Amino acid sequence: MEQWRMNRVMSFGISDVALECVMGYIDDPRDREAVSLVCKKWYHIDAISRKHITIAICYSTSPGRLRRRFPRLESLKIKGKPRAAMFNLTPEDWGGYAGPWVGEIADTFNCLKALHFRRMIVKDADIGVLVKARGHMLQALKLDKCSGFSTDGLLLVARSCRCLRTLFLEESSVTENDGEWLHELAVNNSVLETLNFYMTELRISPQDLELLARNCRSLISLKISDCDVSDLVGFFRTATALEEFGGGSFNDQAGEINRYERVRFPPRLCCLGLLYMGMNEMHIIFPFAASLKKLDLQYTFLSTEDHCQLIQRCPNLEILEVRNVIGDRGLEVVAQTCKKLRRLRIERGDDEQGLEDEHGRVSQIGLSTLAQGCLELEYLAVYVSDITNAALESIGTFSKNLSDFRLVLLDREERITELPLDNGVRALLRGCTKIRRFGFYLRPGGLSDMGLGYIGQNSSNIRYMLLGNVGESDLGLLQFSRGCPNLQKLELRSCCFSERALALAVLQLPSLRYLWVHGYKASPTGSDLMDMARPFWNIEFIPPRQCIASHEFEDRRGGVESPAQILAYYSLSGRRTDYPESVIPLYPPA
Amino acid sequence: MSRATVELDFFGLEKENAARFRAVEPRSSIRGIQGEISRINPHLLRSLLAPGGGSAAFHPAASAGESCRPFLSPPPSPLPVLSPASSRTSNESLPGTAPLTIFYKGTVTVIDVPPEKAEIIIKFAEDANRIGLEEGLLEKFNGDLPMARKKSLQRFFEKRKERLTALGPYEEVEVRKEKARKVATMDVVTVSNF
Repeated sequence: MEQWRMNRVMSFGISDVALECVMGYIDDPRDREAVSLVCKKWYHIDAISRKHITIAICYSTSPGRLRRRFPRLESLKIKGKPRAAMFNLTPEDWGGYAGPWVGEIADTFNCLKALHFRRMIVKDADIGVLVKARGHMLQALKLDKCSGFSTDGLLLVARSCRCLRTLFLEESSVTENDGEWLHELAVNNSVLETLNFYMTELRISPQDLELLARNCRSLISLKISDCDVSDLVGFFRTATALEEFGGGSFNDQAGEINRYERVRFPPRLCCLGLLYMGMNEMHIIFPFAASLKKLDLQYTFLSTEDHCQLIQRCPNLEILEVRNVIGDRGLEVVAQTCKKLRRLRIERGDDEQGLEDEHGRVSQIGLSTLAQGCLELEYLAVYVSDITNAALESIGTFSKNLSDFRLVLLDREERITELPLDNGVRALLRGCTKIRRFGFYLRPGGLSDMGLGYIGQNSSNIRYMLLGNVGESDLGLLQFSRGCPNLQKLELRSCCFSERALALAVLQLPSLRYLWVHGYKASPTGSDLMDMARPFWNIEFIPPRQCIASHEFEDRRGGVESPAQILAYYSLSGRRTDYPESVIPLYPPA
Repeated sequence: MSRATVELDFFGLEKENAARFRAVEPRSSIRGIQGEISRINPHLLRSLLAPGGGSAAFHPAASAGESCRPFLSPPPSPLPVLSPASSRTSNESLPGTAPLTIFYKGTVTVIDVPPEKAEIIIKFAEDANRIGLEEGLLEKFNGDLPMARKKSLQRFFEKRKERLTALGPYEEVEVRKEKARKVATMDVVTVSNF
């Protein structure tokens, strides 16, 4: 009797069925986490009704644990290698193998419809196991910046996954055997909506693309690798529902002025990114520039002036990605024209002389103008050549919707107008209260210890930070780590902190569950790092090594020394069992 | 090629010094070779070629060292040098050995070593290289780590460079595309050596 009454009280008089219904409307993982902590019953109902899980680092848990916790998952996203892998800073064999996960998915996750592996190693055999077990119900498969598989694996997907609405392979390293997979996809699938093999080296035939467009009438997004745009005329004519296109390429041949005149883009196209587009071809976008919502110019050959010419025709732009060749002048045009802009990424251009426009520099001038002009900005990532505190204050004043801000100060100019940026960053963080992801990469002298303390004090909502060349001493780090109450993931690069200070900071940051450090005051034995040893905290050490394709030095040796890295993360699974030679596990002990 | 040749480019100066490259005939003269070897770090060479190393081509004979003193540059200690007994005027190597060509500061040395010795020398040089560089980096380390480039953008810059430096306007479109494709599929290390 007593027990029954307690149960009713604990569930607030709501039946289990009703509870399950209600919980179905709660999507935010943090809310779900809170719900699961109320009582056993709520924990259980959350567990069986949870639809999606993102595992930020695959070694933080195990496939078996995931299955026991959330047996009815419909969608799973798993990340492997540290973000640094995108910059060639992580050994290729570091880990992040999809195999164990695929095995568990095939055996037990009977409801899984969507799978997303990011920066992981996926073998053809893994794909085989996956499609054999789940191919018939898989609706979305994303192999995002992955490696280890070939077009044979893709062939398996194409043949077995007839319900696939999304196939995403962007920036994966795929071993190419042939282009059959695309043909098979075109022949076997009629519901595909999104196909992405952007930034891969896959070679495909335009005829197969056209076939795909004919069979998949719902195709709304296609991003491909290198394929001359003039060969895509047929595809564009057929893919009438297409809203997004990326890839293709322009090959400027002498004497073929009208090569691209025949190209007509589909009527609903509003997201575009064309490779190697130059000034001479730019005009083919003009007819529909006004309807563009998303534009990617990172891989084009446009000058500063070209950017101005193009962007001034795009008043409805919401997402813009460019290199810093856009310059302050281009940003002025953006500020005047793109009032609906929500996301802006300004990437780093080439350093080599003569290859980038000399006006192609972004500074405090462009930033301030931008902040004042584009009040809807939510995401801003920018490589600047010069900066002042006032520009940062400007952002703090105007960009009230900013949730993701990343600034990198390029190292080419000797003199920066105003350093340190202590006051500017404080004003920015105080003004932009919604920031959850923050990147601040400077140079020595860019931020004092006090400035680093300011960041700590004013980052109450920030979950992720990348900091480079900040602070002057261990004191700065310790001040910083007294703040940041919600910081979960911290990446530090090129800083002067000692191992002892790093360990102490880790122990102080209350929400920290992931740390990556590259470039710090390393000791010969790394013994001070053990100060942060604690239960469930995995500490990995990657010793200094030759890393291929680190391009900072004009490297004649075919590789450059990369200093030591530390990677530490919470894990319920204990020590990894698949460490390569390039990684040394410091904790837990074997 | 029937002989295995191992090349070790200490500082990648081959490009710069191509013009100054003195083509050295293999075993043109003992004197020439000794001169070259004498410019290499004597401690390095000596420790490698210490007795017990098993090479028939070298031994640090004091007498040999003395007789070679005129050819030594600054290093004070006598170098292990080719013993007169192993000097050859023909172009044949001793059985079991192969020529090891060392490019160093604009000079070239060719020495005959058996495979194990070659491995030792190469590994030693790599270690010395790495340690030296590591020390350099550790010193620089207060925030001097250069910015890393994103892979996707780096590939774009390489492709752009390739397109810009493609051979003349008269080259066939197909050939140029094929070249670009070939470069794109090579790994970055080899590309950067072009």
